[in-house]
Amino acid sequence: MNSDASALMLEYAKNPPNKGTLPNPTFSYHENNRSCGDSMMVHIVVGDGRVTEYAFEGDTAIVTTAAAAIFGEAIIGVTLDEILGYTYESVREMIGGDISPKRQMAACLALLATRNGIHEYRKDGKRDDFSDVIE
Amino acid sequence: MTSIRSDFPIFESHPDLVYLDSASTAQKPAAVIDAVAEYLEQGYANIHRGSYELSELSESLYKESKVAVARLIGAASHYEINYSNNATGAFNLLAASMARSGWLKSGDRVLLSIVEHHANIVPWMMLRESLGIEVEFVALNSDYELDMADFALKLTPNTKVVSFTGCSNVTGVGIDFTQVNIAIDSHWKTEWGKTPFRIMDASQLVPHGPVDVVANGLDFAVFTGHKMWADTGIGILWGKKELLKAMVPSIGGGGAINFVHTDGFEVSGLPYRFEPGTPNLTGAVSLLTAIEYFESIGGYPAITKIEQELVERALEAFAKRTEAVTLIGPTTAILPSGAVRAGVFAFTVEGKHITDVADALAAENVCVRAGHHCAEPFHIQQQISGTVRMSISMYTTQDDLEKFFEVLDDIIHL
Repeated sequence: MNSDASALMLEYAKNPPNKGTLPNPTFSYHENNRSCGDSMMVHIVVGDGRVTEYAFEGDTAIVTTAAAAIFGEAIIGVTLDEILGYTYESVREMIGGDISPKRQMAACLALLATRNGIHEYRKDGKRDDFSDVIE
Repeated sequence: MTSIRSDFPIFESHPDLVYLDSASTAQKPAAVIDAVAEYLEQGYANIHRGSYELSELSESLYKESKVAVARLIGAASHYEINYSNNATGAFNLLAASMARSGWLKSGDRVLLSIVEHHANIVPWMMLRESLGIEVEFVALNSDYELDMADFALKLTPNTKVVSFTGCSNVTGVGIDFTQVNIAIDSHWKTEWGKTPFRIMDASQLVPHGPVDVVANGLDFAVFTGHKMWADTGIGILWGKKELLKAMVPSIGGGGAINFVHTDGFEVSGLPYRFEPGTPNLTGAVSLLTAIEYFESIGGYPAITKIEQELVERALEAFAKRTEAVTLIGPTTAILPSGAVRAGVFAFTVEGKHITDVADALAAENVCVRAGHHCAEPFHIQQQISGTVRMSISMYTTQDDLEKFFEVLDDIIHL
């Protein structure tokens, strides 16, 4: 990761602007990343098929926290269908740099939680795992 | 040819060795031996939860090995590759997981061919005992290929699985899934519901000829590392990703879970779903290196050329000894169907016990195997108690075959 991206990650990890809860989320979803010990809940408000509000909470490490915060800002205004097409590459672009292979799952935890939250909200019977978001 | 053989240190350690037991297990190239030693000396650590560099290196090699396996068999993704301890372990995992998923119930039918290895028989028979499924065997035709008329007869509406070998470890001939798929398309009625799962035992095919899991229309495939020049203790279960995600694992624990609470647990998704516990890390490194070595010498086009010349030579030699030696398998390198025969030769010698034949060959440093080769139903059907099996690999030479037939002649004339 380049130094600008690292600085951005550290800043978001220290002060994640969207960490917390929402009073009336359209859906919430809990996801684990056992290989890194992270556990996270995302809360999302949907309006007109797009994400209008986002928050996350949980016991998360630096990379997970920063990526979840940056991801949450990036998906405001994005349609649920678009988010279902997001992968690690999308998160990498949002962050502005590569994440080491061992931390890619951590960086994608909020994305995975959001995708599975959308599936549950839509009751489409699908359940994504890391094989769906990381090549 | 000399260069390939010289890549295998066993032949330097034993210059007089005539190793013709490769269908049982293949010898290892120096590349594999060196890579395993280097990994254990310089790169070994556990995967999944280590933050340190060695763990990351291990994780990377483990993933790379699955990428290589996926490339070898035409799989869509490394996530479709799951490791078990061997092909038998992979079949047990698959059969029990299908049962646990409710995909097999009392009265459902599993169709096998009569020439299957026990690894592709016993796990289904265990479900016959525990669930009450049917296990039915399809006969072979006179060319040792699947009897398609018998297959059509036994393809009943309750058939949920067809599981066939891609290459028999006795006859050297496999079941052609293209023909199987055509037969299913032709005979399966819409009102019978979903067509059966298609499973290939590719253990003997992968070391000799290409496997394309997509082109063969397969749902699952099983094979093992040690027959394709890697170490023992690593078997492969390939499955379509959507099936692996839906199938409930029959084994659990370790890292293959999302959470474990005192009142329950949740199984994880891919890639950990079917691999609880610490995996065979050195086995994965050996498999990765074996595939890379295999690709470096030209892959299937190169070894097919070498092996087909050996097969033709062996068949010519067997043909000169038909009064004393009976070959259990095709006598031509190319079958009337166009199928290619692999270099696995099971035979009996008139008036000689199979163990005595194998012992006499062993006494002259010629390594073969005697028995039913874990294919007892086929031997019973052939009304023979066992066979001697001679089998080749890419490092086998014409000299090996000459020595084999020279000793065989001595045995015949004893």
